Amino acid sequence: MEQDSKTELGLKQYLLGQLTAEDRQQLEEELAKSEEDFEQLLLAEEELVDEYVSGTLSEQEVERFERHFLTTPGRHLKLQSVRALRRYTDEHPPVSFWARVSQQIRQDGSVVNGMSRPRQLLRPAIAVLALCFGSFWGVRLWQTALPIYQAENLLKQNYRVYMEGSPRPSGGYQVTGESVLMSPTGPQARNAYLARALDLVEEASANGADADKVHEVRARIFLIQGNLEEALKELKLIGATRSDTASVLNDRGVLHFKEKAWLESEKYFEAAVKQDPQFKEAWYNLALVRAQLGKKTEASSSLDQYLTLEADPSWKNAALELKKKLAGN
Amino acid sequence: MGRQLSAASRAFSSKAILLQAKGIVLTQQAFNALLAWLSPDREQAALRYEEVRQKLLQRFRHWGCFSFSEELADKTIDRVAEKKPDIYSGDCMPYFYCVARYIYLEWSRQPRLEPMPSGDWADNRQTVDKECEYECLQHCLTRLPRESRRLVVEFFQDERRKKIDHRKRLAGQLRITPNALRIRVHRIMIVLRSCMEDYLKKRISLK
Repeated sequence: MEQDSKTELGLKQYLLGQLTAEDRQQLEEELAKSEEDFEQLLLAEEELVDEYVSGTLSEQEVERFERHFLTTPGRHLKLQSVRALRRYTDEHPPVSFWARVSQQIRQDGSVVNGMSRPRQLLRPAIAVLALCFGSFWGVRLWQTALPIYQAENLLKQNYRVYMEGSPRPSGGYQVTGESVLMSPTGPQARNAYLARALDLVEEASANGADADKVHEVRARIFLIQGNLEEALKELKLIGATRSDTASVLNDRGVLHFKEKAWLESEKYFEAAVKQDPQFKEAWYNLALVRAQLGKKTEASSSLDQYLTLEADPSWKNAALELKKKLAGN
Repeated sequence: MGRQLSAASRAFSSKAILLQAKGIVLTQQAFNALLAWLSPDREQAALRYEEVRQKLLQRFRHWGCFSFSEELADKTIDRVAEKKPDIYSGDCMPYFYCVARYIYLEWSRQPRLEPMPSGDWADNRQTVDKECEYECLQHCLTRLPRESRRLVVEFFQDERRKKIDHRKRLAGQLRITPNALRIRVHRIMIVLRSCMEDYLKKRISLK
């Protein structure tokens, strides 16, 4: 069989066991002697695995792949990783800008809220299109703000704060009585929406979205994920104008709470409520951390303040339960 | 430091005994030649030996051998130790790496016929279903740095001819050659697979 030892085809033949013993030995000598050539072999392995997963190998090649190539655990792992990546890219295809716009208009009620008749839709649609076509900044804003909005929406729809002692990140998330361990939502579903939210934020960032906003939302995703190190990195990257906002201060407090750095956490929650006395999540969190510090009276007082601000009945119940515990009932 | 040197020395001596226990016919002369090649001072040779072993371990992990990196690193040193002294000269690492590449190629060619040690995750690959592998991938993707994640996901998009054009375009955007792009992605995949291996091991041990 004619072969060019170090070309892609030659390496593929080698990996599929299609070379004669003599040719194989000669090739292996060349590969062993040269770091560069050996690296090309490893790249050829990656390419071959990709071809197998994509279904572009012939029947004979598939048989050889399964018999000659898949001989080691390392190669099985290569197959698993590429197969899973292919599935991931199939489930997360790149979406064109106009497809996103029409998807957003169809699916999101808040955009067309209250506009049920087609004629009523027409005028604002023309206005939006005119704005987008007529203004470079309008288009840019849409490309940067929309993915951020979608990411935050994803978190709101999927993430629930466990009522038993869990601090509330900024973002208005609902409460649940089930801990993550007891939740019927499996890790795969959790990882899926978090990964998707991260992708949307990356997209916004690539389109030139406000960097501070990007860092803030990213930090929140990492906080929810439990990746505190990354969350802290993101929070520290937020510029001075936004780092002093109640929502960022609150998230910072949540991070330190999860690290069990109670005093540090309390400091941030206090700063958050000072910045915005109406920021209810921070009042709730302040109560939690004061409870941890054994400051029962202050914790109860924070809860009273919180209860004047909270309208959601589930969260109100959670706060009342906490009050009962503090009172020793 | 003195205690560390003695410990290294003891470990090194145990290795010598192990080689003989494996039935490797290693003359004292050849063994001393290997030590002398690593360093004229025996204590330093012991430290250098450990350094060489660590580098080989890293190299085998880089090549995707994860669970078997220790076995293959030891095999590499054994093979080098078998060689005649007159071929030794200069810095030893390139020679070790060359032999390591031979070992990798031999190992890749031979299916593992002997039974896996109990608890070895690789032998349970049949039980690692595709949902688990996907969950593992998603978990490990979030642990990659942003740009790496983005690059590797973009790299694996599209099929057939579109894939080739897409990758050329991606390389162009990054201002690197297509081959350099493949190398970059390959290195990200090593990190990803290392994470996946650990994650899958944990999942299998929980089952």
